[in-house]
Amino acid sequence: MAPSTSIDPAGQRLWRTGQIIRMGFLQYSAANPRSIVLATIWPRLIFQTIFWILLGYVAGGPDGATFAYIGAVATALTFSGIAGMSDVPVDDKFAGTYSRLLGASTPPTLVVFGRGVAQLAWSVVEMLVCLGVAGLITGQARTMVALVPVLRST
Amino acid sequence: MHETTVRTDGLGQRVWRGTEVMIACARLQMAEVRSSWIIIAVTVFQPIVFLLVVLLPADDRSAAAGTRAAVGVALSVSWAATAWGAASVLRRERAMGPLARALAGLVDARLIALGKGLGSALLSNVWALGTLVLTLIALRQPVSISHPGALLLGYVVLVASGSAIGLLIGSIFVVTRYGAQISAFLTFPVILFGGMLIPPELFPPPLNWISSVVSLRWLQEFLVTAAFGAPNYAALRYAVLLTVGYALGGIRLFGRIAQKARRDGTLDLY
Repeated sequence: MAPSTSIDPAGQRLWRTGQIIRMGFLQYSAANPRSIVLATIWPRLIFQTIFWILLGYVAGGPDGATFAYIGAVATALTFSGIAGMSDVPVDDKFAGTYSRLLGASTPPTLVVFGRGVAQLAWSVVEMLVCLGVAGLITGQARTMVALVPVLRST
Repeated sequence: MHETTVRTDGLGQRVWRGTEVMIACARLQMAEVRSSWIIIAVTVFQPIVFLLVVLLPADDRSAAAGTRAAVGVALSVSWAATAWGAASVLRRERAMGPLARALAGLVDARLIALGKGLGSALLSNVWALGTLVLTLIALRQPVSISHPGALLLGYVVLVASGSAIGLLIGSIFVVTRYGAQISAFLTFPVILFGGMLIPPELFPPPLNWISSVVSLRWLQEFLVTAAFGAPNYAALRYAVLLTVGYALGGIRLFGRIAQKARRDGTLDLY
């Protein structure tokens, strides 16, 4: 529903920002249905984390594996968090909406970053999936439990 | 009055035309890959990171250990570049329209996909190799190159393998609009189970056979033994056989999927 004209400019900006963020989540769901997330995106990140942990083990033994586990879980954030966010304007270029955004009344920076909030939110979920699943598979449960308070405090 | 002329090309002419198409597509792909930032991440940053992780904490910095690490990294990066390169370029082709046109064109789309796979494999392997050499020099890590001819032969098979796998990945993009996600998914299982950087013995028995169907695992064996002066040609034969298998599978699969897309009239959806 469109906003009524009585909304003050600050309220209108807030409403627009909310709609932009909502649009980002809808776009993510359309581009990545649940089946694709469960069958490809999450398994890919879990395999990636396991690979780094085993490489750490090969290079530095059990301590190397634990070191790599923490780093690999943090790296999982970059998949949607950085690569996914950078895909937002790239997709606009492919779809032909980029030039329209540049000419729109809403600042394009807000439209691009607002839709990137969904990517950031999903990257946190992906990181937690890697923390749990890859940690349990590779026997890093103790490190995983030790990391939980750190994550809660952040 | 118009006359319909049916051109019956000989086998030689058809092979020549097919080669011309593949070379043109390979050149086009190289130009496209150069404009895709992701390939820089894969062929420049990734080999540096892999080498640093493998070599810096290692106690054994001999030429033998360095050679094994360098070959493992080269093959892992080659695979990642093949999967990512094919994914990023095909994603753009699907979005901009040329993928559907290639499937409906007069030229066999498989020649186009093979040519593009060849271009991608050539360029990414050259970049990755250049990065590896510079990183090894910077780390002052000795390596062994006892049989350059055999190493070159191994790299030719590697590029052919990459082209064939590119065709298989291309099939995914024709059958589903989620090709980018699926090809990204394929990257790490192959690096993980392929035996290039992680020894297969680390996996439980139900999983450690996987590397035997990955051509890169046999190329690893061949390239390492070639570097030490006693090339294992049996390993090279396995790699060639698997590459031929990938190519035949890709040609058959891509052809069937493209035919289905034309028959169902769903080309515009890709």
